[in-house]
Amino acid sequence: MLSTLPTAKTKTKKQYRGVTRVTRVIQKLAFWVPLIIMIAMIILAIFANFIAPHDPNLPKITDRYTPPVFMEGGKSEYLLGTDQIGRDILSRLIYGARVSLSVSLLVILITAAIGTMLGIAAGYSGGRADAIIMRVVDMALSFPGLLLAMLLAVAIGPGFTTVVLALSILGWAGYARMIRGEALRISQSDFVAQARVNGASGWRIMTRHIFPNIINSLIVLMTLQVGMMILAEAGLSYLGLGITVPTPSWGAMVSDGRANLDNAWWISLFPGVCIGLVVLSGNFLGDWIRDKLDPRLRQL
Amino acid sequence: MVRFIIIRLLQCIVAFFGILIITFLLLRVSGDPAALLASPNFSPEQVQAIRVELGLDKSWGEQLGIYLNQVAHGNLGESLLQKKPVITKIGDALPNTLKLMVPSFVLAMILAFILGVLAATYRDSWWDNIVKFLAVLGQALPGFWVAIMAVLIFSVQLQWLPVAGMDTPANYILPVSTIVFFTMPGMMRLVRSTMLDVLDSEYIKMARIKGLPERTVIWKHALRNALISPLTIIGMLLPGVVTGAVITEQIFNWPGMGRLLVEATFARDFPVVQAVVIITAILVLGINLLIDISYAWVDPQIRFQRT
Amino acid sequence: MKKWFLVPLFLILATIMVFTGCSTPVATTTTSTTHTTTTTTTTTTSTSTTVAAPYGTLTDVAASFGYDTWDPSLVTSWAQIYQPIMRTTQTQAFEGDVLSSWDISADGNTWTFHLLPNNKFTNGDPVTAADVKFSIERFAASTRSPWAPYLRASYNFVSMTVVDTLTLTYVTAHPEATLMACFGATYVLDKTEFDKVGEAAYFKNPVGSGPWKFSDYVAGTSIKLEANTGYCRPAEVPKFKYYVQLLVPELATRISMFKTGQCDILGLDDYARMKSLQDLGMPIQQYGINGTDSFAFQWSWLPEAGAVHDIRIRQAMSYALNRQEICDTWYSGYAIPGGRFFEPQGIFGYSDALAADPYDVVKAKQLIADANYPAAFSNPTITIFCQSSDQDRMLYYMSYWQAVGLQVKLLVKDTATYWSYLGFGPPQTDNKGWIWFWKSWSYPNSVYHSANMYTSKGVHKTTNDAHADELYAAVVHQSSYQAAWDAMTIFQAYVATLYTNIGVVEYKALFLYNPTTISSFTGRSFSDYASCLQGANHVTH
Repeated sequence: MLSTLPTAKTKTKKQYRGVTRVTRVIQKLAFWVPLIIMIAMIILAIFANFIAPHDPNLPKITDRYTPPVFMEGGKSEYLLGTDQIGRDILSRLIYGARVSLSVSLLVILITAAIGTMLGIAAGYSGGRADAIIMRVVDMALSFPGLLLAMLLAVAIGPGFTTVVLALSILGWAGYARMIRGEALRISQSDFVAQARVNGASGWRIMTRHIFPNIINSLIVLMTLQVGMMILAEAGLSYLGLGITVPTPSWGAMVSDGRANLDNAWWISLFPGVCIGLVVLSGNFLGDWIRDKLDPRLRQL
Repeated sequence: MVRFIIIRLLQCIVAFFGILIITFLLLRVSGDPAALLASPNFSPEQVQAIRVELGLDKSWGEQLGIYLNQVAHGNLGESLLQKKPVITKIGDALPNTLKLMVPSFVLAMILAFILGVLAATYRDSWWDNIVKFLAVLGQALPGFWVAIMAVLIFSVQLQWLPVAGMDTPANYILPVSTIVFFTMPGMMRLVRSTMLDVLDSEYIKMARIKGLPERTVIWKHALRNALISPLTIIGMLLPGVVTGAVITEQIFNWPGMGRLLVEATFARDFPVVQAVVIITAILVLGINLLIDISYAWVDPQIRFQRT
Repeated sequence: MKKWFLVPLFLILATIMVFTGCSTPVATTTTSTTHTTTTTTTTTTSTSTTVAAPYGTLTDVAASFGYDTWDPSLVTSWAQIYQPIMRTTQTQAFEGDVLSSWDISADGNTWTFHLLPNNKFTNGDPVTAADVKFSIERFAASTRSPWAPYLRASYNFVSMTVVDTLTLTYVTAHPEATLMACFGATYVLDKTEFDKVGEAAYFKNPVGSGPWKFSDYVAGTSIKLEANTGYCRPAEVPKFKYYVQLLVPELATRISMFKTGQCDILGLDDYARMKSLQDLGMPIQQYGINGTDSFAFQWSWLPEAGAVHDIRIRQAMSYALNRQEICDTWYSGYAIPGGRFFEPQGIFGYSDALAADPYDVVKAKQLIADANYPAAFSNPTITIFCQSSDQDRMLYYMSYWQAVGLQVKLLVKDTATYWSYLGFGPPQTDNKGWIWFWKSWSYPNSVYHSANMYTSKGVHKTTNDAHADELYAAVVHQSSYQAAWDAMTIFQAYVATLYTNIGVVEYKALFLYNPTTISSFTGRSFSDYASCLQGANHVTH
């Protein structure tokens, strides 16, 4: 493989014009397609009650396991078929967008807020406060996340709040660690020293000088997390610790249909596709924003 | 240096007991194992008798004291459900998990390095885009779903591989591939970006100016410098080694720590869950400590910064 | 975008194909050893021992092993390596298992057990009266078995005497023919071996006299049993040499294993799914007696119970269920309306008085209107709770109640929490008026179970009725089994009118089997799962 590929140094524009043009198109697509998908999902989530053709939670047992409309035996009223108790998959997907996206966004807001505050505090103040915060971060990062989520779910019972709590309770640590590094770097910079000389308070420096300078990294990290959180929710659903019935969430739908993948694949596949689309979109958007805002951040 | 190690060690011990106590309390809140051990026909007195037998009638503080004392003496206690020392259960499960995770991680690491270095070297080429796409794809689907699909395709439809079990080498292919599929992308991203940083450095530019062959520059000089990141990767992925296999073990029916943890948590088998946490915490904290120490060894600045 | 998707996908496939190229094709675990004996089973007399030697392996999968132990006082699910004192017949009566016969004295208080002669444990020790006595005593002391309390002095036990090696007497304080159910749950251990090696070693390498003998056990992975060719009933010796049970928690994996022949037996909760596999050519076998699907109302006699305190609401809930539709759809035709708590048709105490209410929406709505629902209740919401495995079925059943205007809410509890709400855990305070769903196998004789549901001392906190208590006491004070049966019929017919438990359906207990290894099941398939598998016959070529 190596020998057939030319090395980076020897490649010239002429030889690879075709490749670069395709690459450019792909780079454009890599921005627009994910953006459209994300916006579409958000619209679905917000206007679910107007868009969904059926009540997502109403079982109709005589129509159970109806295949999608394009398959033999499909019915036009159920475009994507029905599940094991005859609920409309499409309607559940639309309402599921609401649940899955709200879990994801809520967790991201909570973890980013806590992580940023602690990270800036640790990075700026240094010394003992830094040491204590970073040890707590270490502890949080070394605690198996899935285990804690399981413990919480069995302790307080599964549900929306539990899922958000379980994903947030350790999730902030990653933000804190990254933000601390950034804050440390910035607080050693000249303009912060200048502000200090001018008599700015610690709070002012943290909010007015440090925070605006880390907001780029924060946005990139948050975008990349959208999909991860939806996947994490799916993982919890698999263990029976996700959003409780009858509320539809994509993760729970994928998990519910898993034993029927060889038999009624549509129950599990369509929500799986939705998850995949959102995760991919989040990743592509995150990459794109990073490249635009700050290419230095590729370590994320 | 000695002072640094002592301080970090003390911090680890505090963190360890912190984790242990949190787990202990969460478990106590989570329910009553006696409810599971009892069955139809039980009177409340009989259920209470079970609680007394298992020592669950004491206050939480008292139970915690007893437990910490046990742990301090190296005794992990007895499974509530099976009246069997926890250590033998762990002894059965841990090697199985390692048998699965070690080859998976080695393979993932090797692939991550090869692909990551290639992607960085031929940045923005077709090759780079494929690698990037692969990286994203590996993180785009729920793990259990991909695992079940793999079983349906390669075992049920094509009949190439066994569905579950761990008797033959063929049994390793599906679970190992699944774990590689999920762990490699993260590593690969890291290798790629580290490598890009290294390739931009003055050091490599010098090597190129000296007229060294490109292959030597990349695979010898640049890679050697980029190799520092594996330490970080190991530290980052370790919490997942023991428990990260939960879903893979569940689907491929691998009797390891992940499955043990799920069973024990749902059965409220407190000592078993606690033992799994202890082992995970020791592994993770210990290895992070070693990493910190080795960093401090290499870079004396860290010693002052981090204490 | 689309093309881009294909490239990495192709790469993954290619990688895996390279991997698989190196591996040898996997043989199914059920490769049978060569069939050496040509004599077919021509057992003309029951004592004939010219039975073909067992061969081959029967592989089964289980979602959980329950308690990880071989101690029959902790769990009975692997009891096929032991023999109980008595066992049930096809007509739900009892016959001896280690016993050849027994008799009860005229006052009904002295049971005399006569053991089978020449019955041996798998280690060669004879099965004696001392073994039976020891086993009863040990079982009665168990803190874990639901049956144990009924064999204690605190309940109805006076003394046991070994008369000779094959005779044992058991004396009670009052006549209680239904104790047979408890003797049916008592498994016989080898006292000589137990005393010699101690408890821990005994259950590490358990010795019994059942149709299977212990072969191997890997914790959390597999159980292996071997046919006991010395079993006291030669005609019932398993025809498969080995029975292997694999622990496979993931349902999708169990299905895949069955489809690929990695296991021979598959039980499924989802009967439509079972039907889809049957359509692929996998036969279905029925075993044991029908299971039951039922709802029970907790604390309904208290005004705080809310809407379900009113019997009309409970009746309306019964009439609102379209049981026939449930049987036809959810159970794919493998169920019939009925299924009150542990009382399928034909078992101990069943009578037509227990037949299910018809589907009658008009009557249900009338009852609800009569009860002035929802206006009459400060909180008209009715709470139902179940385990996660039953959640889909609950959402479906609940739709019938919603259809007649009842406001219902579902709570899904994980197993431990669910059981603690059933009264086995710390007392719960928030479950006044809650309804719990139970899908369960039934028992040929459920007299002691029914005490928990229908008497004021029952742990489920479902019935508090003095007359029901009296009728129950009558059942457990009979000296003849037939008299007890009649008393049970009266008791059940009365408690059915209280509507503290409503049956939904009774469903057939079924599993799928692999027709390339198993041809049919003969013998005691009417009894239970283990006995059914014991009668598996080979496919002969």
